[in-house]
Amino acid sequence: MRAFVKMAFVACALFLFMAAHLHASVKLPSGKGFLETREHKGQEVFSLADLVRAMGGSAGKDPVSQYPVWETNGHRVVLSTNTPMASVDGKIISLKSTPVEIGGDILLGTDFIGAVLPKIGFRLDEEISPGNGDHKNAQTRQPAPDGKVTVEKTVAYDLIRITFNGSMASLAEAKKEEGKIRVRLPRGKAEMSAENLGEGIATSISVQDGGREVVISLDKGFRSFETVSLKNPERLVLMIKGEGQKPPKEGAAPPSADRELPPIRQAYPAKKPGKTLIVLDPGHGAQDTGALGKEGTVEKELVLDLCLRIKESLEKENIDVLLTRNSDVLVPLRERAAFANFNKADLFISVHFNSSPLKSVRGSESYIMSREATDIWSKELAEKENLSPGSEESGDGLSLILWNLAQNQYIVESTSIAGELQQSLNELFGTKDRGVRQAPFAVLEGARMPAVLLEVAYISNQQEAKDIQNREFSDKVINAIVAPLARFRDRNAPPPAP
Amino acid sequence: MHRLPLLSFFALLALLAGCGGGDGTAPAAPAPSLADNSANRKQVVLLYPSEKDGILAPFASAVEISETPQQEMTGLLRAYLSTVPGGNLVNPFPERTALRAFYLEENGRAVVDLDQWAFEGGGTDTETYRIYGMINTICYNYPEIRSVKVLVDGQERETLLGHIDLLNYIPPEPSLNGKLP
Repeated sequence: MRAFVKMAFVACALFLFMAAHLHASVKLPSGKGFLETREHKGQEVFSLADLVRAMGGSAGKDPVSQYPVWETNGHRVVLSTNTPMASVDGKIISLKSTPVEIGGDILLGTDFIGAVLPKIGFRLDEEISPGNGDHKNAQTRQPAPDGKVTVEKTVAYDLIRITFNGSMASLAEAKKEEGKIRVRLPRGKAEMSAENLGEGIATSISVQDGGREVVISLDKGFRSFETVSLKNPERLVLMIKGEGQKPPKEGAAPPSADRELPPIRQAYPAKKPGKTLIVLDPGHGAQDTGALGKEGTVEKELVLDLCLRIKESLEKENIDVLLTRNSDVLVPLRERAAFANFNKADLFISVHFNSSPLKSVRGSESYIMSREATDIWSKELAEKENLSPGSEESGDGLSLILWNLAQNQYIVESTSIAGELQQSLNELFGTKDRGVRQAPFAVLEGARMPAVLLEVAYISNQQEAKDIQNREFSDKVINAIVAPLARFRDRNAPPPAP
Repeated sequence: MHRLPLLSFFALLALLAGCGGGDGTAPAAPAPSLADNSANRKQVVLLYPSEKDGILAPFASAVEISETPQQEMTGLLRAYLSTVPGGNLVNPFPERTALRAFYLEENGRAVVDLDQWAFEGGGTDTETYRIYGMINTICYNYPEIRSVKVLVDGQERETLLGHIDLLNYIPPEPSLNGKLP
């Protein structure tokens, strides 16, 4: 009998030991041990509460969005339970799976460890290896190659944009001398080979001094350049402005085709004689999700779907349409209007869905470029160049200075079409028209045609977020947008082709 | 400063003054009485979006009178970011947004440096209310300021939430304001 009890005790102990150790787990960084994981709908997940216990900090809810929040080490991680995303100190990070709220706790996919922890001060300095479980989703931090600066180029008819990424690139200096712009890197070397850019604004880009300097050779179409230093990621953006840039002639190295190219790289303007051309700009894209609304709505997805359908309807009205993006890619704000300029569009509409801190607000709104802002910027620019609007020098010189503020010539027409679009949508929604608003929108600034930023509806409003996802209702929205655009076409019909 | 103590403070002031300052149903409520009685405080108007009509409506407050305009305007902005106006008015910034620095430049220009909490959220309305609630408040209380540049974490940013150009100095937009005192 004693022997039996002993055996049973040993068996139980062995069972408990195995049960404990057969649980899957994921290794935490900074020597914090392992975190138990479990399966939820085919995903390996762990509990946020367990993570907070292991790593420190506190978990709660964001008072505004009511999304789960984890605060630790002076960082703030906000989790969406609608989309596979997290925000770390305000920056959006994509996750492989959507965090799930169950019984007051949040379950996170194991990829969260590799995606988020390095961004809040935990170094994944060793490979995340399995505890006793399967860790196929865990990620290891890939340290950025030190000292390397990658160079990206976007070439358009009136703008060449060169981005230097990495190794203190935001501190690089750009100087113009003898028909060239020289960009001196403070640290690291540019990873690129010489390239033919074509002709017009610039002809080539090359490296000198063992990669410490990047040199852009300018052409007769060059007008001005400016740089913008940006962080997260560290980069310097060099914008070279002018007109008439043409692609390299046959035989020159083709551009990289390993990713989808934004439409701005189309070689020739799409405008056809005698036809109205409208450029629709689905706002945001890629990592810039735009607003996250009720009902799990994501602005960048809604606007793309809507713009593709508006395009179809407008084409039935014999109006040509181009989109600044037709997939989930990020097109820089200023390149969107440049795309419309290059294609000589008659109208530019940047399409968005709104979100507001005001709970009661609903309906449609439209915005145009701010007259106040353009007036003051024009004046400041003129002062900077020692020009006055009345002086003899102010003709071409001032026009050139105002390159960025082209939109102020079209404010009346922009207001008119903005008002019609807003009225048409508000009639559909049964909401009060609050008038066309003005603000200095980056996406509208350079447009050389009437330009409007249209906020179709509020996805922060539960009812509107629901309505807009209903196919029948969104068809009505499309009709409400197309009707004023057809009237615009009738008012501004270009002369027929000879 | 955290909002809860400030909220209690203003609630107390409102009770003492016998007014519901900033309920958004009327033009600016009279400044709190304690502020009136205090020799070293100055009445100011903070502009917040109103649930009632979506415009920037006035909320009466007070800031310490300081030795320099820069210190005083810094106080104004700190009050703007941390106040929960209540009633129909809403502070458009996330609760913890803080002012990192405020600079005055020549020619009526100022620079506001916010911390990264200002990036949270999305939508043109949210962004418009944050930028213009703050800029219109500065320029209304200190008309000598004609334009403001907004930095986040000490860096120049293209936009806050993807729409309004922050690379340039921004003048106030009076069309967004309601009736002001």
